[in-house]
Amino acid sequence: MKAKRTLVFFSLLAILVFLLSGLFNPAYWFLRGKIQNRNRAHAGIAAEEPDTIDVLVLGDSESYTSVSPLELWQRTGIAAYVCGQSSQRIPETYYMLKSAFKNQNPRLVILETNLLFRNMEPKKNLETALMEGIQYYAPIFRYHDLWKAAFQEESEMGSFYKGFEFREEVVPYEQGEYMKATQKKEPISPYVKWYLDRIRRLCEDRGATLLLLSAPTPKHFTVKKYNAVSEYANRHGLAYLDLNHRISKLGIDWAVDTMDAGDHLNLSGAQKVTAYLAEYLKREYQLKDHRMEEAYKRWNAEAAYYQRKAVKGLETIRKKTGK
Amino acid sequence: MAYHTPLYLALFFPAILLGYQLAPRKYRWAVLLAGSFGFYYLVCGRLVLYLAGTTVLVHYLGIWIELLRQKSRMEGEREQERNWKKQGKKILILGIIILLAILVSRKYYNFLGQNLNALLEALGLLPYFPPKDLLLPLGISFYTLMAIGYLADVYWGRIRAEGHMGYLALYLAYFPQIMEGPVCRYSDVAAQFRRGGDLTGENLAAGGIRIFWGLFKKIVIADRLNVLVGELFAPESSYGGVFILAAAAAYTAQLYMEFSGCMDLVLGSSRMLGIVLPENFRQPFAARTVTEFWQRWHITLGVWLKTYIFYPASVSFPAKKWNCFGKQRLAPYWTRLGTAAIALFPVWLVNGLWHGPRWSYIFYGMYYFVLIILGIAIEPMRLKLLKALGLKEDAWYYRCMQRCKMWVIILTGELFFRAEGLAQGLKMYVRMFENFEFSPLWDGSLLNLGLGKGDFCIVFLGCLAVAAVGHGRERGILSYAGLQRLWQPFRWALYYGLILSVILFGAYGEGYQIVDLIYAGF
Repeated sequence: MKAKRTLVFFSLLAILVFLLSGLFNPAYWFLRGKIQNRNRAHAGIAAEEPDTIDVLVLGDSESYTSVSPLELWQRTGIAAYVCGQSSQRIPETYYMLKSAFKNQNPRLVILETNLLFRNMEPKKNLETALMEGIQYYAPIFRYHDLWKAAFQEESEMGSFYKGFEFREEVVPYEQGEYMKATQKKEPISPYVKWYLDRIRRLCEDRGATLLLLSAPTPKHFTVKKYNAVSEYANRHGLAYLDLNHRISKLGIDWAVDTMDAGDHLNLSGAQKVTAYLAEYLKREYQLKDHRMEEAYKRWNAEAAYYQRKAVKGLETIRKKTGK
Repeated sequence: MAYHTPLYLALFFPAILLGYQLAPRKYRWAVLLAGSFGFYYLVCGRLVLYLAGTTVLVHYLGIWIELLRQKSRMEGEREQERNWKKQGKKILILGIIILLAILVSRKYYNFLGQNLNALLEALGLLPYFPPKDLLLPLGISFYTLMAIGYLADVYWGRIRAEGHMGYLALYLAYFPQIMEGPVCRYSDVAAQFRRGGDLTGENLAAGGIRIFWGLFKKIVIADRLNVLVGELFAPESSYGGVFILAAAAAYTAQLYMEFSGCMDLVLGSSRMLGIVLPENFRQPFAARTVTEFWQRWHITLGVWLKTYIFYPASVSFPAKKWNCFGKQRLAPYWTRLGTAAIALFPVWLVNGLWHGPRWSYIFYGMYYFVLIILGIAIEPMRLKLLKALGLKEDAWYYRCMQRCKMWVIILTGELFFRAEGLAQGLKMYVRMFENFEFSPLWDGSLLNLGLGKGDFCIVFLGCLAVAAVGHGRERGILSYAGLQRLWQPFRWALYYGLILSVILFGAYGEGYQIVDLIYAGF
């Protein structure tokens, strides 16, 4: 009798949590500009029209400061979305991808590799993995403070540029060549590898191709890291695009294109990376150009808005650097 | 891995519950011990050796005292008895010195060094004590008190020394209490550790509800207030007037919600395992006198100080000497006052110092010492005044007045307690009286301190809920047994309300930081 009562109690509780999770619809609140923290990427992809995204970009801040989906759209008509978060940890990446797959079927998933070398203490890793799992299955734990929206004034949602962040600051990188040849490898922790394998298998199951991408970042990237990622990519037959070995092809000028002395790219750097990526994607993957499609009309409007802002941003950078 | 983190609540504690239930009754204490040392290691790694060392030391010293006593009993002569008392006392003092030396070397070295260096410099000498980067073993302030209490109880013959090191190790390391207490006595828990009873539905339910009530206090109210308190007490801040009053009130609320909430988590966890720990709080804001406040706030520390410092100090050589002197030359009023001061001074000095190596904590202890002595000093006058004015002590208005007085005392004490040093505390206290206006409380100024309207609403409603529950408990109309008698759908609605408020209104996840347990830092 007691066991039955306990079962009923917890079943009712689960139903309540499930109902509350449904009530706090992140897409609805995202479009009203009420989600401004790291959950923005989660809510942003949920707010996209179902089955419209062809390329999903995952990673930490290197992802959303390097790849500009609306720039890519303008150049190729490929619909991409950056689901990056500052200091994203790999369990977050995994659950971000799982969440994105709920209403999107991207053909290509690009994983920026900087997060593969973010190895925290085991306790923190376990806690992140646990919380991400809980938040995935019961989103109320992720969006629980949306009730605060009731106390906020109505605000217009500014454009999120499909996950890209405009950065117009310029702090040059002056340390010179950073890709110094070596045979050594930076170890990827078993914890990260375990999640990377899960990401890879998830992509396989959903019919998406996984591309590993190393964005230019003299502060973080080394040949040791390149060797480690190359080894993993070769072992599992994955494509790997390292942009740190292609700095001159990209046309990156470290006096202009970085916002914080080689840690992240600014708008100018991101445009160069995206231009290169556009050509690469056109060449390597047969992705559709959606620019003339009715369903993507809004993308064109957002791209036009992005373009106006980008022109101003580049002008600001030019003024700062004199180049 | 504090008690309010997902790692503890969703992984560690359920694993311990499962391991405990699956283990044979005879070895359940071992599951708790392994869990406790595992918990300790997860939190502070190799510093677990301090705890292990203390356990071994206390175990053998206790046995040594016990053997001496037994030997003297067997021989049975008065002289032998006197001898063992002397020897036993020496062992007890040796134990206390070693335990305090470990505590002082880890916790107070820099404070003592800094002050001694200042003294040397004042005397024109070179500083001698370089500052050291010392890591503090988790719960050292708590388990040292428990270890000293255990040795004293063995020496006084209140308990027999524990022959099984495992049980003693569990007493000192028991994971639910190692971070913030309560400061137990061995007799409180020994039999419960040995019993190793099954997990029961009633214990699981009662403990579970208490855990959620603790989470409500901790992560809904205390952690939300942390932002506001941090802003108002920041060393560079220049708030004055009513903002300082708000700072004192916010910190008092934060500290109470955090510490008593943590106690709910601790007692709830332990209750789920079938082990009842002593209560640490009993509606402290309903106290009418300073003494009563300390019988309701951090009760187990108060009991420890009373048992192991106040009583011995009351019969110490200076107290006896003063009594003799007073009887011969002074009025009983002055004799009583002097005796109280001699016995209470070390109590409040230790109370202040125990919280940490800072002058503001010593000031905090002395603040209550002075207030209690003042209370004893004016007691005859107060009674005369009440009689003259025809006031009754139990009249509602008099009780209200006393509680208001206590709130002023408590808020002032907490202001100094939280301030970054005694100098900042004094500055803030003085600034409170400059340009004092109530208007910032409603003109929106408080909304610039990191909390929004919604946060203030939740804090207010949360405090109201805690006050209502406290009132119910004070009146004796609210208890777990009482809840069980409620109509089931209503009772479940209350439980769901509690659980969902923690999930919805908790200050956790993106945009919030996990706030460390305040008392774990002491």
